Amino acid sequence: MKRSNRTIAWKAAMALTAGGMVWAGSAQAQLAGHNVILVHGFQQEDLASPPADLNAVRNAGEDYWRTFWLSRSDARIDWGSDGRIEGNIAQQAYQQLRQISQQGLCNNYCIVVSHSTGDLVTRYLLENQARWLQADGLPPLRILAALDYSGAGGGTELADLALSIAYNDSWYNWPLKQAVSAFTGITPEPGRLGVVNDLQTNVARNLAVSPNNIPRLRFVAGGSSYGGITKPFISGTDDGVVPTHSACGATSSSGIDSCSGSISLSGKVANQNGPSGLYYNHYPVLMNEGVTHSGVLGSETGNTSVPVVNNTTLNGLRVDFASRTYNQRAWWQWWGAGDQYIEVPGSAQTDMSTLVYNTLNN
Amino acid sequence: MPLKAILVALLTLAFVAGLGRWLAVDNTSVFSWATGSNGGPSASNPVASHPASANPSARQALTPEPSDNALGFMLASVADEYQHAVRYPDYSIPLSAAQAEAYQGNRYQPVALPLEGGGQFTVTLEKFRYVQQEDILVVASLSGNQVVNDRLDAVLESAQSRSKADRAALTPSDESGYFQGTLKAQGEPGEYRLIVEATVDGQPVRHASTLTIEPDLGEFNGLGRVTTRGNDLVIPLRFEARESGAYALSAQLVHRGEPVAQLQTEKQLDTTSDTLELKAHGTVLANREIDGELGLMHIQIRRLPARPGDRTDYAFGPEEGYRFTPPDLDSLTDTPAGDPESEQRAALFRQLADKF
Repeated sequence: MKRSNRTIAWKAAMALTAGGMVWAGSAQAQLAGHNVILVHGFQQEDLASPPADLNAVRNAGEDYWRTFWLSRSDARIDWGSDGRIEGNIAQQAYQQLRQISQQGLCNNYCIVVSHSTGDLVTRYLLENQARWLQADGLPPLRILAALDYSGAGGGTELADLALSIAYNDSWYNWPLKQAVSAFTGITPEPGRLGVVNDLQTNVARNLAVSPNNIPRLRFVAGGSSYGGITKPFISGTDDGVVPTHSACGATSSSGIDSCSGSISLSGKVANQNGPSGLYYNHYPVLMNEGVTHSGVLGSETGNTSVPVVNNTTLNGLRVDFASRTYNQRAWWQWWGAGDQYIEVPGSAQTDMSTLVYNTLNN
Repeated sequence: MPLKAILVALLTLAFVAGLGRWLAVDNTSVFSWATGSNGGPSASNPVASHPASANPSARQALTPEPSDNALGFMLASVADEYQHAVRYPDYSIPLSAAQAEAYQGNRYQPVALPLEGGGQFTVTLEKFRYVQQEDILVVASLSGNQVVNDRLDAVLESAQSRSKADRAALTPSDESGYFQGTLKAQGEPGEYRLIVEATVDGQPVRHASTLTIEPDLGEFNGLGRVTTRGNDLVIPLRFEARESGAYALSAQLVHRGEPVAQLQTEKQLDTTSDTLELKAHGTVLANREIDGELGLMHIQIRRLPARPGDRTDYAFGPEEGYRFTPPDLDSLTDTPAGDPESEQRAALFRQLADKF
């Protein structure tokens, strides 16, 4: 899910620089020596104006990642948001999976980078790709890990609400309607919601949830999208589109405030309403209270990232995180040491995508 | 004169406040009694105030020096956890209580629709997937200050064709304020909308959510002879499929009501009676005191989509599951599974982590 209100000027500027970025990317593609496959999120333009064909889907997919990852990727799996995951989306994705398999791009293990609904699409594809490819005489893709930014694999309450709004033509809860319209980009109607149907919390959490051995590294945002009008309608904390319960990989859709029971999205060390459990092989890595849903893809700096430290023992050694903590006092706290915070030093000077990319390519 | 007095008072107040603030910011240890903390670096320069830089030698002697790269540390932690996870083959993974609940499958968590004035219109179902002709118990509640009619209407509508499959009235169940009624899962397999309509303050308000109707995939015919093979406890489960295809079977192994492991397998079945083997690996059994019976609960079989775009169909085993007395488990050991792909993945992760 990404803001659709890109201006024409923005697109034009991006188009002008696109050639250079792709060229630069060809030299820099790969992450830690592994090819990168991008799986984008919900594109609300597709609901208002469904893409004409796969070329249109591919073009929109390319645009989606221009901010940062496009030039650092080796392949993409693009899909139209007007479809359903167990429908057109699977068909479109499979055409691209076939090409990736034929080209052998994942022979040495790929890293999938997903955003938002791309998390759910990836999960579904990982469950089925080996069987489909083998049936066509092709080798399955070997995936090292998925880096899931603002993962919507657990759905979002905004999709639950969008469905009810679609069936309430005369109902008048104005703030709710505005929030749903901001999220979907349309006035919802039955039959026009496309992948938003799959994002209902119960639908998402009943789709391809079987555990597997591919690790999912979770990067969680907590900023405000759409001027904050969607936040009141999402359980727990959220990034304006995706609730934290989904982004962390929590086993329940009950609202939570953080991926950790002891560190807040802002890094404050204090008891939190964290998840009671995480899906198997789901690992929350970073949280960032300030960055927005789409800002995690590289467009926003100035927000501090927080490591999701649940266990400070590594290889049997206890690591003291005091070296990365600081104390901050609220404006009204005149004395005392203030609250203790934990952070990734220097993370506010960069964006979440660059931070991860540079670290892995260190 | 009064003006001077006010000015003096203000200046005094500002001086005291400034002094207090200055002392608090730059000399936190003086005030450590307030928080029990030994003070810490300032917010304005968290990196520079690294305790290790203040007294590196003393610090080194106390604790192992962490990597300077916090994200690197996190990646190393993930590599560490993943290294532990690959001890278990993906057909037999251990479960925490929360994971056990999540992997039961077929869960429907209540869906709430906010009403104006802070109220909520909530619908709850027992599950998300129903087999054809099964009863669907619908429970709804409305909270808030609205005036609500004493009857709600529920309609089951095909998501694709929008044809109505069934309708029912939901009536107040008792004094608790819940409304309930029962629909029948009649209609072709697929996705359906459950639309519950209430009249709130004289206006119709519809709550829409999703459920599915599943086809009859076949018959569960109980367990075969449970044995040990290699480092696995092998549990054969007979399933007579109506149609041939690729099927995935999953279930939770339980002991004395406690979940032990999530078991899963895939197999191509034909229309004659066939058997799928669930296997519990030694890593989930060897360190447990197993006495008496084991059970298989939350049994779920899926007919997997043959081609992209096909639907996954679901069926469920008996609610009470199956119980069995295991053979002697002494031969099972807590030896890592050694799945080559997982091991390779773990090694690559370790390579990444070793940089930090």
